[in-house]
Order: sequence, then C-alpha cells, then structure tokens
Amino acid sequence: MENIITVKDVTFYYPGEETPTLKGVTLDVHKGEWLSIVGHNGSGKSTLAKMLNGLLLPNEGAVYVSQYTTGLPDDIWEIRRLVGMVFQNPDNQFVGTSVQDDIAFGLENFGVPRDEMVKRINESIERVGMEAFLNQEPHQLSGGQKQRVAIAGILAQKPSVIVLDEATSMLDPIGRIEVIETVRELNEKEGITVISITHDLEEALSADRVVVMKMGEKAAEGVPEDIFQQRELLKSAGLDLPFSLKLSEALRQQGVELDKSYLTQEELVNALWKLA
Amino acid sequence: MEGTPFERRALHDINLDIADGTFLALIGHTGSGKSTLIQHLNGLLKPSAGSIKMGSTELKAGGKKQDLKSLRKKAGIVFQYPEHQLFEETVEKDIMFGPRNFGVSEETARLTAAKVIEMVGLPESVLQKSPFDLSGGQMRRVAIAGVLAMNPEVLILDEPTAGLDPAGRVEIMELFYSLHERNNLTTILVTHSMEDASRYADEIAVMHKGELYLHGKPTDIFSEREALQKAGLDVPETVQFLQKWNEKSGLNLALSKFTVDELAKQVSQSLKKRGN
Repeated sequence: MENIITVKDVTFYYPGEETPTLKGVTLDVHKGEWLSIVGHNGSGKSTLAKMLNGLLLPNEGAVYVSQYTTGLPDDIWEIRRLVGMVFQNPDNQFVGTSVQDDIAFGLENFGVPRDEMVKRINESIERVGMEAFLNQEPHQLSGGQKQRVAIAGILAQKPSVIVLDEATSMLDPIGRIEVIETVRELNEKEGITVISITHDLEEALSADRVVVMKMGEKAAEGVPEDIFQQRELLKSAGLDLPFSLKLSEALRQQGVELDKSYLTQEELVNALWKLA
Repeated sequence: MEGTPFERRALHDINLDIADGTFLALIGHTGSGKSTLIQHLNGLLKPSAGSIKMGSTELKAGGKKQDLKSLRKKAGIVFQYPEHQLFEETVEKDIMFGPRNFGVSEETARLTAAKVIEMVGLPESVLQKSPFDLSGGQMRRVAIAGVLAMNPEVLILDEPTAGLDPAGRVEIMELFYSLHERNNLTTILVTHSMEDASRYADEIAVMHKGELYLHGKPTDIFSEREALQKAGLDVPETVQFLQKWNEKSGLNLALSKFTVDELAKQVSQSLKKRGN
C-alpha cells in the first residue's frame, strides 16, 4: 500500500505548555483511503490534523507528505496545495463576497492564470453540486452549502488529500449528510484521500480505517469492525458505542442468542430474522 | 430590521403553551427560526406582533422596557459555547456578577455561588480559581452555574452540548435532566439531536420555515416520520430500527420509551412469542 502521508514519532508542545499535546505519534495514511480520527476533547486529534499540512510543525519527529516534509520552508506551499483543510465553523472560512470569488481567492494566491482559473472554478463547483450558486453571497447559503464551497475551493487546487477537521459538527443532520456524501463521491470516484477528524461514530463506522487518539497518543488503529468491538478502549477514550453495537449488547442481555455484535442496522435485522 | 430592505419575517404566528415543569425539546434545522424563538422567550427580541407571557409577566408588541427586565430574570438562557462569556478573575466573581447586577447583596450572592457550584457538580475549591485555568468541560459548568445563580423559573438551553465529545455530551445532558427532575425546573432544550429529544423531553416542538410545524408528545411526533423528513429531520435511531424490524417480521410493535434497552426488550419479546 502506497502512503500519501507519514507521521513519524511526532511530539508537539503548544508554546508555554509543559505537557505535550502530541506524544510520539506515528501514523501512515494510505493513498485513496478514508481515515477517521476519533478521540475525546483534548485528545490531540485536531492538533494532529493541523500537523498534516504544516499549520503546526512538530517539536520532535517529522511529517512527510508525498515526497515533501512539512518542516522544510521550500516544501510548505506544495504541501498546502496537496492537503486541503475544511474547518469546523463554516462562517470562519468564507473569504469571498460570492461563491466564485471565494473559490478564486485560493487560486489567486497560487498565481493561477485567469483562463485556467475560470475553468477550474466551474469544474470544481460542479463536482460539489453547487453550480447553481456561483454568484450567490455567503449569507444566502446554508452551513452545509458553505462547507461544500470550502471543499470546491480546495478541489480547485487539485489536491491529493482532504482533511475534515470536525467539518460537520456545527451542521444540522441534512447539512451533515450533504457534506459527507460530497466527500464520499470524491473519495470513491476520484481517489482523493480523506482524513476525517470526527465525533460522529456512524461516520467513523463507514471509514476504511479508524485511529483512536487518547491523551495525545495513538491508542489504537484498525478497521472499524475491530476498533468498535473494543468497548473498554472506546469508553476510556471518551467515546460512545455506535447504535447497532449497543443494541446488539442489550439484546444479548435480554437472552437473544446473537453470535456477535453487528455494526449496521441492516445486518442486525437480518441476523435477528434468522433467529425468528 | 423593520422598514429596511433587510426586513425578513423570521417567525410567523407561533402559538405555543408550555406548562410549568415541562421538559420541552425545540427542534428544527438551521434557519428554521428556533433561535429567534428562544430570544423572544427571554426578551432579547421583542415580537413585532403578538405577545409572550411567562408566569404573570407579559411582553407585548410595543411593550414597556420594564417587562423585558422581569422576563429576563425569569428565563435563564445557556447559549452555545457559554464558556466564551466567562470574564471575571475568579469563578466566584463570575457567578456573582448576574445576581449583583439585579441588586442582590454581596453576601447573598456569595452564598448563591457556593450553592450553584455544587449543583453543577464542581467542588467548592473551584470558586477561588480563575475560570481560564479550568478545562473546557469545567468552564462550561461554571457558565451554567452563572445562569442558575439567577434562580430562573425557566431554563433555556441553546444546543448546550455543541462541540463536546460523546462522554461530555452525556454528562452535561444528565446534569440538566437532574436539575429539571430535582427542582421541577421548566426546561426548553434547543437541539439538532433527535436522540437527546427522545431521551429527555416530555414534549417536542418542531420548527420549520419560521412556523411551529409539529408539537406533541414524543410518541406522537415520532409517528410522523414523513412529515419530519420534509422538515429535514428524522425519527431517532431506536424508532428507525423498530420500523425495519416491523417490516421484516410483519409485526406492528411500538415504543413507549425510546431507549436502547426498551427497544431490546420489545424485540426480544417478539422473538420469544414467535418461538412458542
């Protein structure tokens, strides 16, 4: 498996702090995967996200993106182009006065010529399904739509990786689905690597791999089927169990003889039907 | 902004009675008018037409300023990210600020601070600390204590768990629920989470496009899945699962409570019946 990002023995202190926010974190991100990073508040997961495109730099260790290193000033712009970030608050990342100005902003910063710029704006806005809103002002958009514009702005830079830093946590359920579906399509159809920092366990369940952060350290890493069976680990990391697992356990306590805990409602309904 | 081009009717013809001691969940997607509604409930906004009555206090369109003040004393609002509003040098001073502003003596305010800090589950020793030396979760509790210090008759919570991890979310919601239970405190919870609404509320009001769209007991509201989906919402996971099970098994089970345990009980009983 080819790695697009490698985090190697990274330790990080915020200025003036005595305890590190990240302690010796090592992590490989595979090209084209959907990786979810979960953990309690203060576990270091957002700090880790900011390491991935050099918004923060490690005190010890290193972060490699493709053939580049975040600690090298010569590499940083190429890294920022390759790794786009979508943040939590949709209102804090809208800089333009219209949707197309907003997407153009990033391209201007990278010195993309005008003809190419127009082409890329149209193309990326279509990929997030927002072409009808090209001339709209930000305040006319919903939270989910703003996040999709933020994603279009990233797409216009032709990135390899999109990092969602709790990008759906301030959205209502519809906005959340809107954004996740948009990103899922980019991941599946175009092979863009997705790293999603999230509290949404149902979202983490559908990831290719999950990393659990706890007190600044990587507590576990694996496929969701394995990670979400580890009840004590999840609890000690301040996380809840996904619904279908909780229900599987409760059913067993009621004397229903399930052979294992199921991750989705459909699987659980089918397993129960076989017992009936 | 009446009489300007920005005038837009955010709420329309809302009629809602909330009985003393109720736990009401106010649900709706972004822009549905729920935040505007709660700002009317404590007189941060005045109605353009109609009136708000809380106990013996009534605020009419074009009413007096005096009514605003007494309404504000009756209704305590916990805003989103309330910890952002802490400002004093000690926790005690911060909590005393509200009561002192309403003319309570220093001595009484101090006693109140000691009482409410216990109500939110923090040790008295926290009172002499700077609020900025506390963890995020503790800061949120201090901010909530500040609202409780006003001895409100109605507690209004505007997405009080936003930004917390799953464990923190349960902790804060259990805190509000025990305050409600122990003191018969009328509570209005503004939320996106059907799960929270189903777990804690006696009544649910659904806002959609500035109007009161549905209002009733959880059992009634959750039997209207299609109507909820039209408003960008859905029934809780327990109800979703039971629907799937009913479809598969041809049964017609219904929930009276919406917990995972209750669902497990219903499903396991239906299995036993079939087995006999």
